[in-house]
Amino acid sequence: MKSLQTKIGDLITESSLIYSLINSLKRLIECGFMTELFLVILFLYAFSGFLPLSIRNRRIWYISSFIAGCGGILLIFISLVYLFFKVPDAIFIQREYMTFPILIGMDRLSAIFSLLLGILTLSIALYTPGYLQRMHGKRRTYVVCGFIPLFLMSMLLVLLARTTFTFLMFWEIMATLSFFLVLTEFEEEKTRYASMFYLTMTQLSTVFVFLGLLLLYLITGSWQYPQSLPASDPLTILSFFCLFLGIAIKSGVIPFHKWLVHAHPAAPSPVSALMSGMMISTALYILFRVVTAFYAPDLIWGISILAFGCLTAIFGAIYALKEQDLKKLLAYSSIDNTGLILIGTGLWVIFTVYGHYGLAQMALIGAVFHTISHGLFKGLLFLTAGSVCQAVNTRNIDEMGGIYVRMPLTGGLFFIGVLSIASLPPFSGFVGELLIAQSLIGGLCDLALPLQIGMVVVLSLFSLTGALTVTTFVKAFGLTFLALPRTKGAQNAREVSWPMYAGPALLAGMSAFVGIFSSQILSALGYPGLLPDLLVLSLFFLGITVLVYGAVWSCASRKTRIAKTWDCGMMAPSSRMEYTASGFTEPVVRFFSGLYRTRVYSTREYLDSYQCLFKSGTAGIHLVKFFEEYLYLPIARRIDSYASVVASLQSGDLDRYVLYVFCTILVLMCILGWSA
Amino acid sequence: MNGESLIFGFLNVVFVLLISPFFMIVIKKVKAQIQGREGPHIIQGYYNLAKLFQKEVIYSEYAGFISRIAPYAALSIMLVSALQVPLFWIPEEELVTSHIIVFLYLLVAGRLLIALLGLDAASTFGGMASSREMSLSAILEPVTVIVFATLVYVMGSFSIHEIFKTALTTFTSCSPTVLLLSVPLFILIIVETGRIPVDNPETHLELTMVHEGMLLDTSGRNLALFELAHAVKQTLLMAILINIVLPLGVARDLGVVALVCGMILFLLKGTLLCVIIGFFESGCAKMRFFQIPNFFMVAFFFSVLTIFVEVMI
Repeated sequence: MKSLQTKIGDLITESSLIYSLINSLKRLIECGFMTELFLVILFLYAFSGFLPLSIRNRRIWYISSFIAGCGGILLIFISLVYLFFKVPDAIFIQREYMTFPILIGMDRLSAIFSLLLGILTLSIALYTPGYLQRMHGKRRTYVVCGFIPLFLMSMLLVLLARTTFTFLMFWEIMATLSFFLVLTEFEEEKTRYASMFYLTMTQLSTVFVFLGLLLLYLITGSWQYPQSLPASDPLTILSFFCLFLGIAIKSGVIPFHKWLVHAHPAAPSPVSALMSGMMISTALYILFRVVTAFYAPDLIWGISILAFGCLTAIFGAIYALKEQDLKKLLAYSSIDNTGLILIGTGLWVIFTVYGHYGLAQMALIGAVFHTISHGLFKGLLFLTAGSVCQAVNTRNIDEMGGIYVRMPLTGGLFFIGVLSIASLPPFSGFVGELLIAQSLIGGLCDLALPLQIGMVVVLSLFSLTGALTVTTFVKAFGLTFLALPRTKGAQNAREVSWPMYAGPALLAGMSAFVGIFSSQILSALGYPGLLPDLLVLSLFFLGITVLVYGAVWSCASRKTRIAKTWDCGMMAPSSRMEYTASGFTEPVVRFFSGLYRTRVYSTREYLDSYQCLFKSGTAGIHLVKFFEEYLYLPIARRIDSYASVVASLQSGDLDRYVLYVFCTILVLMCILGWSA
Repeated sequence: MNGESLIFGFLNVVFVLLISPFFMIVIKKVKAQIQGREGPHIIQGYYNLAKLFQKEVIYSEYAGFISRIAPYAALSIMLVSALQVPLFWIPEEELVTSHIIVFLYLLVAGRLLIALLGLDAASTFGGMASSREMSLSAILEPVTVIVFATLVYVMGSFSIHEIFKTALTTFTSCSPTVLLLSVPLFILIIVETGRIPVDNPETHLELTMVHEGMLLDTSGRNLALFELAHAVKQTLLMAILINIVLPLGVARDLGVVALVCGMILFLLKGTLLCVIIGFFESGCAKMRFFQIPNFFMVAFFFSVLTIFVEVMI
């Protein structure tokens, strides 16, 4: 067993071409060329961003994407060097702007995330030109094409920022660029609503992050990233919660998640893929940094992160299940994955506080691993779903069906995404969940009694989330891709051009690779023995499948006939007889009727006064938008009424303003006189 | 991966494949006897499979790749799981990882494939059944995880091999922990294999069917593969219960006598458990669909109780 593993490990590291490339890059970095390399990457991203903004020509899409792709490949290799070789943390740029220190560098944590960014860049670069070709609206395609690399660059800089000031700057640039990208299809009322919602929430997030960082400055007196602050004084606690709130809003933690569900589907698909796959990961990266490095672990952080994580995971999964809009469903499932990652992070804190370092490490690695794999498979799902939505011209699952026959490659790739997100071995989604589940069960075994109860509760919520995700994606795949098309649009869907499935195919391949070789990858990173070996499992699975197929092929009858689906002799099964998406999830809605809060209504009209002869009527079931109606709208109304009070102060008369000034001076004089 | 574990894998898979149809028929026979019927012949299961393998396969004209790959994948998944769960002999080294959560997720993988198969042929029955199956599994999964977590907690290891070894060496079969654990494990068998009161394996009525509904459009060798996979799944789940509650006679070393004894004893214990399942099935009525979660909660309750009993002791 051991020898096989080491042999395969050697095989991977010595795959000659890639290995020599990485080695030469490593040598370059050791000679001190890392700043130049980094600037080349930045230049490639920026150049590919500004090119389509200045030149209007269809060919520029391909050129820009090609340049961005080159940047992505270079970034992948540099991140690999920092990840797998013991290279000291790099500092690319060190300057001072006024009194603010600007520091950009890379360590292992940011290397993992920039690796994800590089992979996503490559796949988006392949996908985007094809998508733009099918998009309507001429000028905006160039804007989208140009803003995507810039958006990627801003996220990269957030990942590499090493001082709080630098981080805040790029964080805000990232938010602004993504706002414009969401606004792309501005003619639609829904998109405008979504982007305004997004702008408000993302600014709120920035406000909290800003507050948190200012508080940190007050505490430490510098803009450097602080090192394990103890939770002794209230200011530190306040700063933590400000930062956490800012990050929570950005990563879609319930109850601050509503913007995500509006904004992610409204954006063009490559942008949705980036927002779900990368922007959430960026926010979570900051969370990992804040929790593991800024503050010393404390039970308050742990329990609050864990509580938010459970809430987010379970509600995200429950809402995703009921969703009919394919892209909204994916957005909700991003929320539930955020929840799972928060659970892992919270567990890290709790285990560290209680001194179970092994379990803590397992939980944190699980969380980071799941973030990366979520980036990969969610990017994949959003891109393929985007192709489908574009081909069918709707996002409603009930209007799809039978897409697999019409778009087999896109469907196959989506299927891999489904296997991965449903966390089936050996795909990447499984590994993160397995690590977190292991640490939960480990906690159940090792902790003291009151926490054990907590672990049982979290474990059941955690697995319920997993199970609901499987159900959700059986629905998403089964009703979108299988059976008969339910509308004309679905019937006329056509397969996309090759780069549009080459991009997702890269992500699908990575997703499978990362899952199958997970234990080898973790050993190479220096964390051996956390995971069972999935490679052997997959090899055995393949071998047994071949054997079973061979046995059946040689021994059983090979006669095959194509006939109609059995339908109790009705002769012409139509798509109207199929289950719909809402019907499919109805039993779960019944099981969780307490959580769903559906509103059923019906109106009837009769021909006669005795109400016997039915004339016409309507009926409907609506999901109550709980958070919107009970949380967001009351706050918005409160702000509105407050604003109207303030507005009445501003009448526009000059004399009244003079009066205000006079009064202010009077008050000031009184106060100053008093204090003197 | 030494020779011994390879022999283990081969023997375990072949043994599971051979005895699984037999156990299915034993349950049927017991139920028939209780209902006053003669019941099928004891080797009828093998006849059925042989007959199905010789028949032609009919695919729906709407069916896609899921209908083609699912039968093979379902059986292979179960056989890979069979490598994880030792029936009558626990070798020193594991062939593939026998991590209990990996085993659980392999079961989930099989279920996902079958649920998609139900949707693939555009049949109403299939859609209905797969909707029901996935809804039940959404409720069932947390229970299963908690049951397995309890197992890990009591036995102190994630590996099924280690769990069985601990059960063999440290626990006596009448310890309260083991008895408490047997209840949720038994419920797990009933639920996972779609038996009364959760699902009725005998009917083809649209009102009651869950598992059968998804396979309605499957025929010939594909149906045989699914039935075999289903039988193997039942045997594996039974093996988990048997080897924890009554691990007597499970071989530890490679030796012809010990292995043959282990096989015969497992066959006897399995038959006994099948008789119990048959009695249990005959003793209760099919539950209303929306009542089924209550049944799962019993398993949940007993697992949590086991944990607390362990903590208190």
